[in-house]
Amino acid sequence: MRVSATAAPSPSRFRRAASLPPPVACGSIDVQGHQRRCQGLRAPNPHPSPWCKHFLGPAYIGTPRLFELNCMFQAHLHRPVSISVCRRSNRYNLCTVQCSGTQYRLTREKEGEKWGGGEREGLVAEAEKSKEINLVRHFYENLVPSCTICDIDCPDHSLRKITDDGRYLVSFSRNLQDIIVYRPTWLSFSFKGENCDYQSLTQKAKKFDSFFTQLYSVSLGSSSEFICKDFFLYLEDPQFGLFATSTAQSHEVPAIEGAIHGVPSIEKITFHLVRLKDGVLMDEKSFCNDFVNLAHSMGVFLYEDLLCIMSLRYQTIHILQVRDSGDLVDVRNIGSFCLEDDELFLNSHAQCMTVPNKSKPVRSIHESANGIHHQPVAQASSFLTGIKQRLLSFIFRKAWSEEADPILEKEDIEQGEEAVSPGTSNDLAVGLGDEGVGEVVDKVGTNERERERRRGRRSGVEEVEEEETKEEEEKQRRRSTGDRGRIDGASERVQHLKKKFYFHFQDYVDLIMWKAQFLDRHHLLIKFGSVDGGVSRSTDQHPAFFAVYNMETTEVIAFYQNSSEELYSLFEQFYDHFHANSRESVHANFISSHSNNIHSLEQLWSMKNKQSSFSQFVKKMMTSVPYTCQSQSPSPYFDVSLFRYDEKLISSTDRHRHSTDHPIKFISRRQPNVLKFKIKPGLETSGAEARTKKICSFLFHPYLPMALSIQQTYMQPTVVNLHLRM
Amino acid sequence: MGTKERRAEAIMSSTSTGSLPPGASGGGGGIGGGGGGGVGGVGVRGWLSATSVSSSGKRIKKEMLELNADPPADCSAGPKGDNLYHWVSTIIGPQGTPYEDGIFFLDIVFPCDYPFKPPKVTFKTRIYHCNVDSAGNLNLDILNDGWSPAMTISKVLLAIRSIITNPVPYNPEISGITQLYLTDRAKHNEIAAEWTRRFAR
Repeated sequence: MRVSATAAPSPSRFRRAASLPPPVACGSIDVQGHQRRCQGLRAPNPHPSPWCKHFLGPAYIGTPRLFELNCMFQAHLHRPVSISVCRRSNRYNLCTVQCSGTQYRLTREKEGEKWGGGEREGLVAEAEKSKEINLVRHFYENLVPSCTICDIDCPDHSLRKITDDGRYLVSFSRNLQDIIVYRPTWLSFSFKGENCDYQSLTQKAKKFDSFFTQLYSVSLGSSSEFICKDFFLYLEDPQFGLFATSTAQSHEVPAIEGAIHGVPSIEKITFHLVRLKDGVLMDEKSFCNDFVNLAHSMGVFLYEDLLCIMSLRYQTIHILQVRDSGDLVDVRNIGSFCLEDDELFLNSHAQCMTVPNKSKPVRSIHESANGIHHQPVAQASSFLTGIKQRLLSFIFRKAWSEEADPILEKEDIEQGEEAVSPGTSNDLAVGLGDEGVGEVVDKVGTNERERERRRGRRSGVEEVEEEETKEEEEKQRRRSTGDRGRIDGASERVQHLKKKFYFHFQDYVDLIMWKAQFLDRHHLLIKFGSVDGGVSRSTDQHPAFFAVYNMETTEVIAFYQNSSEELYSLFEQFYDHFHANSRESVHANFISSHSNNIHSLEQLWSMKNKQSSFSQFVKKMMTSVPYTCQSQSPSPYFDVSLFRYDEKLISSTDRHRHSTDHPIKFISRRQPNVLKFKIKPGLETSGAEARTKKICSFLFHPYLPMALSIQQTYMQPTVVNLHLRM
Repeated sequence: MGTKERRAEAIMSSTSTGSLPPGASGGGGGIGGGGGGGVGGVGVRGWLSATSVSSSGKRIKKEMLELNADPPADCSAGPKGDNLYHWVSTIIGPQGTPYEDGIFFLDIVFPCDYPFKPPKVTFKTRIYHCNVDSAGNLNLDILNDGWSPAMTISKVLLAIRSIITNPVPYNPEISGITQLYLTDRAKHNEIAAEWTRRFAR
């Protein structure tokens, strides 16, 4: 039992699985919808934002912050707003925004958040049109985290992520036993005197606690199980966090039935579902003696409430559902079987099937005879797994039906060639790549006999050239005897299948599933490759394949190699469909990609044009597919239509990077050469340690002008800088 | 059928004109005739074992050409990679049977003394059929005691296809399916179609 499922397969479990929420969209990729969205989202030339016109609201208060506030709301709502502010002892505490009869109150109390998170979310929900939100983002050009608090006094935790809705900062204790969750808040402090535009903070305010309030700390680890600090997934509604703990990875893998070789094993991996509001552990699910790639959450994909966990060792995709009640429910396992009750169905009919004893002696003789020349046929008795059967039958059907065109051409060419000079037909056959090398070599040896045979049997038929290949000879014979037509077509088909399918059959059988993602609630994009490439990080050298699998109809609906130009063109045009995971998150819609952003697209095109080999370029691009869930920050500062930055040093993708001593520059996109702000990780004075290798990671708040940079240097304390707008 | 016979004959005679000495060629000819081929096969087997690799290889190659030239309906087959002795075959479930639309993959392993020994055929795809056991082994007379060296892979595939269409319910080992097949054909077909839908698509 490798999965300690909460319940054994039982009818009730299936019933639960059957009551999945209704599908959002069925069928394949919705192209038109995508184009509409693209146009709505990122027209190449966005209109000048309306807030420029209504710069001064009716209730003008002489502080720059209220300017910003005013502009922000006008842009949000696309309508004039009125802002009234109650002042209390030189600082405003309460601000009311009035717009078309709707009133929003924004509190700025000492312990509260800057612009009252909840109300702001309500505003965003009201201004649902993506275009409007997009316009708001232009506002961030002038609201930048340009001020740095160096080496902030920070608890010694491993900071993991600010959730995409900005509600939580998730961190792990250094001993990887506890999770500590903070609420990001905006700094609030009081000034004495008149000057409330004072631009610097007091030393007392420059600490972690001023910006992040600890909510709780929960222990998940144990003496042998440690939190995997690379793994965290967030469910926005109902605010659950998914964490993973695991025992140490062992490479000395015990051979277990059903497990593939060449993949490491982890004694126990447990996924914990935590309610982030209060840190209550809701449910957990364990995988024993299995391997799930937890680095950067690669082996797990979350789509709405559906979770897909790729067990590499057992070649099974576990589909789970996260219920609002906080339960992790098994929906189905895709691997050996495709439907959730396939195994049950098989077992219910198993009593009818007994292995006949009579045939056994015969078989063993065969095996001993075969053993001399071939690999042991031990696996021959095993059936193809469910997913492999689907994959192979898809490839088979494709090969079966696709032969028509090229073969027709071939026939034409052949006939033409024969009419001109019959002697060149051998070159043609080889040129067409029809024959394996071995067969070509063999052909020479058998030619003589063939000729003899033909002479003996068909003396009336015209003499054919010596170098003719056997296939063509067969064809010739059939032509002369007059039974072309059906047989010819069938024969060409088998020829085609032989080369395209049977020759590679074992390679297809040996493919393993590496990574999977949801494309929508029904479709999975699964990456297949050889065992060697599964765990290593640089997988671009290994051949890989992608299959689109519909888990409801259990059909493979598309299959591509990683050098496929067709797949690349889908990738180029519809990339947003590859990371449809967090559509429900408002901010995640605005992650720049080459399918929603003209600047990204231009960058991609320039890369494409620079490449010497297109297929190499395609393979390189395809390494980012399937998409890694929640790996990109929705922060507006990574919006490439607003800012330019060096993607080698920083990008929206959540990765550790080598850090340099130079600050990272964010340059305005619309006003070229205007430096908007800089981010400098690490200490201000770092001349002495210039040579040492420094690794840096960044946590950006999804909408507040606030970011954390975490720089780690070997054998030195971690330096956390806070970058914010003052 | 006439052309097929002739072709089989041609194959056998060409094998004999190849590397085999006259004695073996006589045996081969006898087999090609289709009569008491089994006896002839047993007679020369001991001698063949030393040099049979190439001759069985040639025979398999010939059969491959023949199969390519005139494949049985819904069937196709080819060597796996460059190993001539290890084939994969695909049989599309025949129309009008409960196996309709199923894609059944079969493993075919040729012994090194082929054609004097039958190839070993196993289903790689699950099938609900009274002649296929739970490990995928096919219980077909011509692949066991009824084997004759005059058989070719095309004929084997034809035979498998025909047994899929018309199961042979004499085999007492897989009694459950056989019984159901004999007593309640409708139920049997329903289950078989469900198996095809679940495991052979």
